Amino acid sequence: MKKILQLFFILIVILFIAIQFFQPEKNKGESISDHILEVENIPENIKITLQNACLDCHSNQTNYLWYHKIAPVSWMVNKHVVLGKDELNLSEWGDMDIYDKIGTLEEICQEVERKKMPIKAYVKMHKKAKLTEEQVAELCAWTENLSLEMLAKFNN
Amino acid sequence: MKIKSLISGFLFLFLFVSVVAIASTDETEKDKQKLPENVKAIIDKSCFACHNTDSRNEDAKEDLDFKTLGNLSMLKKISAYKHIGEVVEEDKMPPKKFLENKPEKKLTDEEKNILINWAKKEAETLVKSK
Repeated sequence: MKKILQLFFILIVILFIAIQFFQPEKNKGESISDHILEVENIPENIKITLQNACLDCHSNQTNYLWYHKIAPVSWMVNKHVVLGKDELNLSEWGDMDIYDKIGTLEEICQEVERKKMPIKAYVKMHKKAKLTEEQVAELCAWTENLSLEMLAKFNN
Repeated sequence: MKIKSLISGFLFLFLFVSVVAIASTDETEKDKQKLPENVKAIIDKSCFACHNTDSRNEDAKEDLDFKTLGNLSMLKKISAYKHIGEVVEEDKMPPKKFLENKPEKKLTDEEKNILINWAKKEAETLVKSK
């Protein structure tokens, strides 16, 4: 019985080591020329909120923690990043048209207000991503401002 | 003399009431007329059942309510039209599960084009009106 348990344990360890060789590609894009933080003039507090709560999955530049590189955590992180970027990639902000931008800004405020974003699993591991009511209000005020600014610029 | 003033009083009242009535029907009519006939037909067929104020589908009406669309802020309207175009284009709406039971509500390519072009035009008009 003891031997079987030993064998089982060894198998688990081998499996764990083996899966380390199957790593997803890292989300570490180099180009930042279209990144929202580069294109727009964003107030410091909003910048911090975006960095803490959004950009890990909604940009080409994920800020990985040490354990994100270990499978199977790395697989889960990769899945979230792929899905997040599919919905919205703020590294491509400069490439979007005004309709996309206004729609996106509106949706950012809405998702955060309805507490659908950031997702719970992310907030659990990233304490700073937990947004206070005040931060949410600031974010929404900013999205509205930026939209109105863009509209004014567009028609000038 | 008394009768004369009574009649003119009634006339005035009648005029007042009819002006108010015309003005208020104008207001509700305007919202309905905003939708071109062909667009309205498609929305009635495939969208309105879930996306209206009295819908029991909370998520659907929270995302988009055709009855109150006209009352939204300009930014929210632009966003809504952009979103309509997107979900129709990407075949995300009507949802697949819904279509399993009601395949006749599926949008044809022509209907999709009509909706997409309409949404785009509405968004453009709003953006350029500012």
